[in-house]
Amino acid sequence: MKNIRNFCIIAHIDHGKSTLADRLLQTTGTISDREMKEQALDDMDLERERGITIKSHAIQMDYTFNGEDYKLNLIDTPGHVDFSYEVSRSIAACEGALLIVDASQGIEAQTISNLYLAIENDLEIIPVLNKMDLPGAMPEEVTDQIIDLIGCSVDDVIPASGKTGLGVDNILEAIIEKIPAPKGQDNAPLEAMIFDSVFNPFRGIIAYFRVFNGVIKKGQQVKFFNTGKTYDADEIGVLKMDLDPKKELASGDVGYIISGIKKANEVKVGDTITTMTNPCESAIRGFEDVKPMVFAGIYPVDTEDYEELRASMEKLQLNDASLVFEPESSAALGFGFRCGFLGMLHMEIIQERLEREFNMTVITTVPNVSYRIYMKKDLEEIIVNNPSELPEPSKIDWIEEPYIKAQVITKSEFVGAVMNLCIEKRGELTNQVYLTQDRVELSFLMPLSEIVFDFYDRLKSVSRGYASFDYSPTDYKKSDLIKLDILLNAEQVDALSALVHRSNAFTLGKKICLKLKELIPRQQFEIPVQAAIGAKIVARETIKALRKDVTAKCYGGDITRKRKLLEKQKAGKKRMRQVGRVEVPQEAFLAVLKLD
Amino acid sequence: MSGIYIHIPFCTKACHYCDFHFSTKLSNKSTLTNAICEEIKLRKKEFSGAFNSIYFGGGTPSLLTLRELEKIMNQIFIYVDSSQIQEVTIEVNPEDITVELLRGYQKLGINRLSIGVQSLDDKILSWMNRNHSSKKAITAINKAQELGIENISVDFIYGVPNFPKRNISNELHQLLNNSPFHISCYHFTIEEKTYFGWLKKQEKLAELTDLKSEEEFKLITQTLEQKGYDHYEISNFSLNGKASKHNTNYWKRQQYVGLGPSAHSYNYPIRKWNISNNAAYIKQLQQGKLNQEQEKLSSIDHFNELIMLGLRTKEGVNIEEALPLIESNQQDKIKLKIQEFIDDKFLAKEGPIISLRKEKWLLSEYVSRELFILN
Repeated sequence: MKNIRNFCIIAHIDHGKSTLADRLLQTTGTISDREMKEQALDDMDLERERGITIKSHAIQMDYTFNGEDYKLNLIDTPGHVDFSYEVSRSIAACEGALLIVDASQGIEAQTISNLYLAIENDLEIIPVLNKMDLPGAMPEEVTDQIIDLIGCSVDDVIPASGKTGLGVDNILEAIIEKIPAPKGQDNAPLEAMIFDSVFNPFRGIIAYFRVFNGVIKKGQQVKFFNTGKTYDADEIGVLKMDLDPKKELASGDVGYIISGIKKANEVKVGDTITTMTNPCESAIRGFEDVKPMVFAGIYPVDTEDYEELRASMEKLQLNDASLVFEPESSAALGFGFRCGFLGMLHMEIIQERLEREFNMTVITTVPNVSYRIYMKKDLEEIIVNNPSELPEPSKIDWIEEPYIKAQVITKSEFVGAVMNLCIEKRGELTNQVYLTQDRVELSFLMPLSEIVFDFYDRLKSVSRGYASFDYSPTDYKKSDLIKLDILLNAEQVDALSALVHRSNAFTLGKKICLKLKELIPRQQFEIPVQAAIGAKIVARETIKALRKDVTAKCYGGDITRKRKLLEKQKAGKKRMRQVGRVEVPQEAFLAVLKLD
Repeated sequence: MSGIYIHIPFCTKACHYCDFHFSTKLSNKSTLTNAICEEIKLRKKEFSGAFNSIYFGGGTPSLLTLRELEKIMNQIFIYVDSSQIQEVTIEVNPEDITVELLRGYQKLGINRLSIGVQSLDDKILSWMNRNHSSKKAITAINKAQELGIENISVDFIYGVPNFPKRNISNELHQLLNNSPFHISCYHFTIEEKTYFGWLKKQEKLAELTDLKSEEEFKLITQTLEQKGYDHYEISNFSLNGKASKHNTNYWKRQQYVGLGPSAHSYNYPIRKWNISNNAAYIKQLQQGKLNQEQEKLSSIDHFNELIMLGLRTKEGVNIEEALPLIESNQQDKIKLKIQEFIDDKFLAKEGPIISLRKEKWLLSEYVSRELFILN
């Protein structure tokens, strides 16, 4: 156990976490140069393309230092606020963390919240100043930021570059020398914490865990504490580039278990694995049942594909337990599913995975948060995850919506603009801290629903990209919310309804109508686009009828080209959904998220 | 019936709207004429059908000398029975027309002229980089008619942006004084690879609003129909039954043989085309070969073309001939679509024939797309 080091990496998106991890894998010989592809740990194409980690990954590296053999377990964490619970469990599985900061960018909001999480868990922090090879690197300034933040000395900060390999040996040395070996007792009852799971089509669910106490043996009967289910440990082992089966894993080890589990939702991140014969008394602290934060309808573009969509979603759920869904029907879109997501990125990822992995083109409706409705009669409380299910307004006493604690880190010159944006988004400034002379951390209390609506893009533009954002849910608060409906060709389209604050319902209605006018192609008849509150129309735009769609000449040399062009245009229309008589493109349903 | 098209890829200068294949390097003209004759020899087997039309298009065929024209025609008539040819058309630019040239054409058996008038507004002509004045255009028509060439077609462009004060009605009436047997009215189109296309990219030129286009289209249609013209295709009007036999062949999906650089040929189920480069074309034929690209039409392609072309014409599409080309479940969907368009007064149906109602002709591609089957 004394030669084991368990560590994770804390970094902001784009700060080079995956590239540096790749270098560690190469230097320790875990992966040969021949096998190396960028972001070796990111399995999904989507992860490589977006340059982000969506799932947690773990890998064991062997490294000899001063004549001793060490096992270094790297737990690579997801890099987005949507997956913060997974991050917290990964952190809880470690004794140390590499804090990777881009020397040309400085510390970002996401980094800080994860760093605090690591400090709370008593992790040893190893600060790494990455991307030192960049001409724009500002080592002194960023080092100062790091020192201010974690109270280390200048010498503790390791200059590095994932690109050139600078500092990799120093990092490995620091991991061994500074991060404490795990503590735990092999003779105590088994206590192992699940920090992630993946789905393998041949082997079922593979759960990743860290042993805190006791020993787990192949073939043993094990119990998952929170779900209460029992399984046989058919196979256990450690994670190299491939699975490496072992007979037993002891305290301090990081490994995997395969036990014939078919459904991802039986394996909950944060759950405790123990043995049937000698169970531990209580579960490891910090388990939470992750709840979806954002809800949206997912519908097939072609109504005939409903059953296929269901099958695809069920398969997707096998390796993404955080996706929840139930059938619903919409007057405009027919049969589909109301889905719960961890956040907006998670929603985008699901939509994209449906498209790529299952070839399902879907319509995603306007996302919303979960509302608590208190009825006048008996003060009955109703949970509404779909605006079209909102009861008759006259029967509602009040509505509550979820709030978040938001942190924005930006340059001081953008403080004003960021504040204006957050206040416009119904935020309330709670704190303002200068991290350095020109970096400011702003804290807000704001409604989660405002993050759903075009917040990220706006933040990016008002700060010219120099703002990072993080949030955590707090509580529900009473809000003056009303339902904004959209009518196309005089028919209400429930999939476009949204609950919005009374104060900006008019402006929002106007903007949505304008956006839809821009996105819905003209058709052979005129299409009114209206926003309504109850029976009252608050905004209207008109999509003029198409009057000319023809080319002047079509002779012998034009026919092939013309036919192919029309075919291509027709193929493009396959992504449109017929709502009443209006053909609405897929992206129009999310139009409200991208208002200017 | 089948047609022969000869592409003459030369112009003295480029019109700003035109993206047809041409070169301003006129020194190649006689070599190219020889190459076309070589092509005819190489493809002699393709001339076994019932040909009724020969069409010299371009580019600017009126840049060919009478000798050059004669050479090509003689070469064709080695393989094709000249007595069966009812229509021999040549596209001419007004500035090229002389009495001598016209007499020469008559001698060669050319019996139809297609004159590129485009507009009778000199400002528009010069904006489009045309090489002639409106006066020249009228003179050209007069000369031809005086010599007894009655079968004259006139090209006219409407929907031109940037000239809000253009008096189309006045221009049309000037043209109609001569009662040409045929008028082609083309909507102004901005093609990507042209000067106007470049202007559009720079956001210095934009198409007319479609409301305005529709207005002009209606004006033209009404004016010409009042004068007895038959509006037989979206852009084409004929008097005294003088619809273009050559172009009608295209729309009826008859066989055609295209000669010269960039020319397309069609004989079901193959469509093929020559290279769009004069030098490369000449080089191939000097080596006694011809590299053509081709596509083989599937029955779905065939169906789509029947729809696309049929809906451009007054004659429409015989749906009982078209539907068997596609699978029965697709047939049902298409029948439903057709019925919707009939109910919406887009399509008219008479027996097995469906045709686009004239007031909807400007939406012909919209309807075609809806009725297309995807491969």
